[in-house]
Amino acid sequence: MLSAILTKTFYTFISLMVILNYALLLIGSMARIRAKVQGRVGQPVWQPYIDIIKNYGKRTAVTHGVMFYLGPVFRLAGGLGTYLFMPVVYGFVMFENFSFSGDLLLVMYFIFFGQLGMALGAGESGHPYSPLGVSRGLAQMTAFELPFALAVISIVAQYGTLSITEIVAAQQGGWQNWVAFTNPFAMIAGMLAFLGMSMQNPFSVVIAPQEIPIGPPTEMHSAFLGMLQTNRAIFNGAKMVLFMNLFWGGATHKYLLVAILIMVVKTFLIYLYVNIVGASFPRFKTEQSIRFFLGVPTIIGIIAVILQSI
Amino acid sequence: MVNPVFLIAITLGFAFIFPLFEKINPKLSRLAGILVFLTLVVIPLIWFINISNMDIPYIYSSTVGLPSNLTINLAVSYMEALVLLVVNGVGLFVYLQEAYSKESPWKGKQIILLSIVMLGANGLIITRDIFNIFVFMEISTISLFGLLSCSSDDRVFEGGFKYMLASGLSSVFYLIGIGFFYLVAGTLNLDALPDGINFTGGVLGVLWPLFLLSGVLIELKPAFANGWGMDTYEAADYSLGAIMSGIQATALIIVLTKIIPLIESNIIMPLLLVVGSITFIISHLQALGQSSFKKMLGYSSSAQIGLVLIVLGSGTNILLAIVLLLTHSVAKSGLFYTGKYFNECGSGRDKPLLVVLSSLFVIALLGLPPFPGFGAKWTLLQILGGKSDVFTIFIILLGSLLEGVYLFRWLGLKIKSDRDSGLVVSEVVPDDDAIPGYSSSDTIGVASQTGLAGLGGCIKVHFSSDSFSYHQLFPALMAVIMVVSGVVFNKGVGLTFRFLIPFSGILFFVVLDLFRVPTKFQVFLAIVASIILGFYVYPELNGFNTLFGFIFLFGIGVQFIAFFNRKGYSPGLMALTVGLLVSLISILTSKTNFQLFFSWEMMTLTSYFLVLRGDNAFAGGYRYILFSLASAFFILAGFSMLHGIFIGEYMSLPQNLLPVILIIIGIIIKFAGIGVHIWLPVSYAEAENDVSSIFSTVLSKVGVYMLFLGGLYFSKRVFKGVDTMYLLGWIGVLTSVAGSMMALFQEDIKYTLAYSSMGQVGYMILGFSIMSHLGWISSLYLVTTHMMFIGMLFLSVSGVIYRTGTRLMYQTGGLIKRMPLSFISALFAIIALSGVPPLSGFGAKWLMYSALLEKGWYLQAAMAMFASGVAFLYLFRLIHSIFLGQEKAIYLNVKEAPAPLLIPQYIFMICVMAISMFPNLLIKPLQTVIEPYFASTVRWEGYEVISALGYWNGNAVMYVTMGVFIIPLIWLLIVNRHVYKVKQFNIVYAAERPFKPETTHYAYNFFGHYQKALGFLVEPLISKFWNGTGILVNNLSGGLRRWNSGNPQGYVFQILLYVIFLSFLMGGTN
Repeated sequence: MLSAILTKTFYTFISLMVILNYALLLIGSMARIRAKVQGRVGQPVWQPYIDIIKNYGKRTAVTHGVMFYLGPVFRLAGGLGTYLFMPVVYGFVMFENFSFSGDLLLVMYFIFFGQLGMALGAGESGHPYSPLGVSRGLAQMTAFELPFALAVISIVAQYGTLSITEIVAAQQGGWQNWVAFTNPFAMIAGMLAFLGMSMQNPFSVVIAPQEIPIGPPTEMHSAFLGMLQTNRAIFNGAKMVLFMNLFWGGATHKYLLVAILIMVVKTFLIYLYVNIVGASFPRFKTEQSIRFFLGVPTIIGIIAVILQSI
Repeated sequence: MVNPVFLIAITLGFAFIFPLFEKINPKLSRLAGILVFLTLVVIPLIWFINISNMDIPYIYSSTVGLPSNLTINLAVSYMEALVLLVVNGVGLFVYLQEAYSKESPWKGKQIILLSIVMLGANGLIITRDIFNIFVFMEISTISLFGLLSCSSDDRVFEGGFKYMLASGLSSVFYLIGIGFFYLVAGTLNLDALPDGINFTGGVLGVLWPLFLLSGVLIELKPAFANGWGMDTYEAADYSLGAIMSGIQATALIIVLTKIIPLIESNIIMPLLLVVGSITFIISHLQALGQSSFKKMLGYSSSAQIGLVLIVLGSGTNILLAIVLLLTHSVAKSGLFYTGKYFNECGSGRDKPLLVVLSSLFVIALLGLPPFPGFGAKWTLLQILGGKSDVFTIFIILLGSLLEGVYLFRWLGLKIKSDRDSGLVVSEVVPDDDAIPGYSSSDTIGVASQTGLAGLGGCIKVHFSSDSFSYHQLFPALMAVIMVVSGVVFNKGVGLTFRFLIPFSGILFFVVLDLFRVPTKFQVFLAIVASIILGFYVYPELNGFNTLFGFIFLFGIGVQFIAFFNRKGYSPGLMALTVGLLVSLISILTSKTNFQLFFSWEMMTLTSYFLVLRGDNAFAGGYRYILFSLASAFFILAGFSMLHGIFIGEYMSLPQNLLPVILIIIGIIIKFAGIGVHIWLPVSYAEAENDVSSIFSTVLSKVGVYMLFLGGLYFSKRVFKGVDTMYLLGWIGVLTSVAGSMMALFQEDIKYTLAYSSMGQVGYMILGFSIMSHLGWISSLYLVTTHMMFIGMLFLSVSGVIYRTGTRLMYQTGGLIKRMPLSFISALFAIIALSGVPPLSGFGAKWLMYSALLEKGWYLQAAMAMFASGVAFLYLFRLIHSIFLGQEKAIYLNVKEAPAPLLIPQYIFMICVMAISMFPNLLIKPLQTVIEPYFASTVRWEGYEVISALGYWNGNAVMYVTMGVFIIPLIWLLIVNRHVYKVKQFNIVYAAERPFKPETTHYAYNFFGHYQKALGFLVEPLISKFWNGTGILVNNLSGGLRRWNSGNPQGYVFQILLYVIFLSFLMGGTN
């Protein structure tokens, strides 16, 4: 029993380290790619490491209350949980995480856990811009959740399971078996929803990075901010892994390293897609985002569901 | 045995002797009057007892001892004895009220005339001679006219003139009818006629019944020849209203029952049905638009006579008509009196006895439990249902609903507090430039919702020195008699005595109120009572009933603790709440539809009066009762077609579609499905806080219970391949979406929670309608857990309202520091409610989506997910606006919510945590309950529940969550050792200084952008529809009212038209 727990702990640690480091590098490299597009030199690829270490290293911090203090903890817990409740690399015990605890529904709902905690933490800061960002973010979230939910439902209808592992298993045997090709409408609805989930342009009004700060990080600093940045890496990684598993056949190979490499390539491409869209389009207002997601992506999602239920 | 002729002799004798008595000694003469009127009650009582015991059909008197064709016979059967008892009882009541009135007691001629009125009425009831009926009709009319002319109202002569005009016409018709009848039958003595013979043939065969009937019917004030009667009611004193409605009309109906057998049944029955239906509906509609109380009751009387005519015309048991008639007679007389005092004293909040009496009389008039009219209406509808007479059922229920519309409006207006505008107060988000609460002095009390609903217990009903008066004694006595007779009658219809015991609880708490026992002590007794009730009913419960029994008892029992927060006396509160609990439990223990419906109506009534206790609750209460009545009537209509088979025995129920649809519509109204939801938010919001909490946690589940009780019975094919449950599923999910969307845009926290409840119940309905093992588990799981977490939320919010005095979220803020325990409770509640793992709410979501996907209801699943996302928005807004953000200066000294409000929250929280950690604690028992209906489709591996599609291990999720939470927390504590707490305004504010908390707290119109994008979805179209319906009905009522112009010539014309109308109905054209 003890050895099983220790092994599981070790595997979890490895899994987390892999996703953390990979996602940090991915964020750094994407920032650099964006800079290139905009004609700037951009930050070094390892800048996220520097930011995190610097923030954790700050000697003093201020707090606005208990919930403010716990906000980043909730956020990171949400990111970790989301990641840990799904299998990362198909067929390897080391990377199956705690996916036995629950299925796709658990993952979809656990995303809320971090968001809620963070929003509450930001709320206690007393800064009006924090809840302003939260309000925009949550509003946008409910809107993109609909096409995403439709896409997921379509996949569940397609394979008759809610288990992520089984969904990945069903897509094995070649690229032509990936959901992206067997159920393209679901993929399109899902990938459009993913744009909103990633909070890049045109859906970046939530954090409005170019102007005055807005959203939960407004009042966050030192280790609080460090924790948010850590989460940003893990949570982004988790979301990309989820999308890879759902639409792009997951990552598997008889050799673990190759499988991880496949995961890296696929998630890199998924993230790149978000960046290409982000670099190409201006920002939506919140109500425009809502209308957008409840328009074409939702209709595509409904088509995906109808096609699967016929 | 007393000879019936004594009734005539006593009244006539008294009328002659009274002036003499009065001259000798006025006081003694009044006492003698009591003796006489009491004798008039005692004699029929003796007859009644004797006829019942000795099993004799008649007490008979041939006045001069000659054969029946040569004399006037008087006869009293069971029916006449009963009617006499009640009519003379009302007479005694009128006498006592008026002869001993404080202001202007009746004397001399008035007493004499009253005695003559009684003579007329008694004569009409007991005589067996058609001409003699005419004589007594004239006696009644003239004496009543005499009384009318003594009335204090200025319009008395005009009213009296119209009365004489109409009575004169009816007498003429009747007299002509007698002539024709004599030509045909050769006798006027009913006993001299052979049994079962109808006199037909030729022109005379049509003429005599036409004129006889016209004579009697016009006196009964049928629509649309009733205008003269209404003007008379308007001009008459309240006592005269009681006499006209309670005595004269009753006697005339008895006359009608004597004439009916003479006429061919295929002519008279449809005629009565048509005449009755028109009168029942039109008169109620006319009453709707009345501002005059007396006229309103007059129209109501006319309508009630219509109902009696329907019963007579439908050929059902005549006893039912008599019971309805007598209930009406007593209740209407009582209402005339209580209405009189109400109209004199304005708001009734400090007149508890008057409120109780008026309420009882209104309830009795409407035929609601526990009064005899309830059992009578039930039996009547069962008979009609057995004959598949859908039209008559529809007419009866529609008319009853219309009657509820104006009677409850009147009652509500009398009970409402002085500061209640009577309107639905809804927060309107103003233009962007208007800054609400800009000045700190008006942040509290600026909006009308800032009701200080919690402050000081908010109960405005209290006893004052003139709360009770002598004049309420007799109405009270009548009410008691009615309740007792109602219980006896309903017991006869099908209520077991054992079943009635729990209702004595209401009485017990009423007595405690009378002795002014403090609320706190009453609450303690109520908790003890609910525990005893639990032990008492537990052996009887099984399956679903056990679960719902737990929800009702535990839910209300725990929330009783919150009532300890009340100070002083809250008259009626515990009686009503215990009544509600008892009714709910009785619903569970019902074994017949009658018992079920009896308890259902008791639940409706107790909860209605609980709503009305709120400070601004008139509109809420009014909507609540109207929609509840509509719901109950649909269910009743459905029940009437089940051939007496209990709805719980779904296997043996008839398989036709109509009752299923009717009952489902009733249930949809009860759970506030989309389209019929407008009653819910306002009634939940405007009830007192602790009461709202009970409504939302417990009462909202009763519609769901009804669905589970019928269970598989409700699944029927409607159209080709479309199941009723498929449609219900869509209604459920649309209700969820609508509830969530509307909750999103509320500034008033109680409206937010009310809409939230509506949305959550939508999920429960959706779960039920899936009709699968998993679907039902999800529904029942949500029923149970929702009770807990909405209880936490509602009570937490109640604490906030109690301390801050405001219901508007943006007016608060930053209360986490002042009310941390309330915050924690609210936090856990919103995590659970929004379905975020690891708390129990996720279980509900997992079960529901698994069930939906398993069933193949994909679009419904997507909609449910969307609704759940929106729920997350309003829940965050709620907790943020109240507890987080900027603290306002006026709330710096606010304390934590009082312990009585916190304790129930934490009891619920423990339950939520236990279920979250060990979902099997709840799911496994639910499986056992559902297995008789559906074979299990889930299996267990340890704590892991596995469905056909997915799996969930609540225990593992909890541990993983704890792990991923605790490790970062420890890490943060290590790296963040030097943390300083800063002051409220120490924020990064773009190099500016925040102005004041009111302008820095981002809470008002929190989801403005969402409203811009999707606000069109929450346009109050449905409210507009219902308001439009209300306006339409009012306009219709206005139009019908104008038909009665007040012009005597017009009334004569109406009467003549009516006679022509009757002649057509009788086939006069042939």
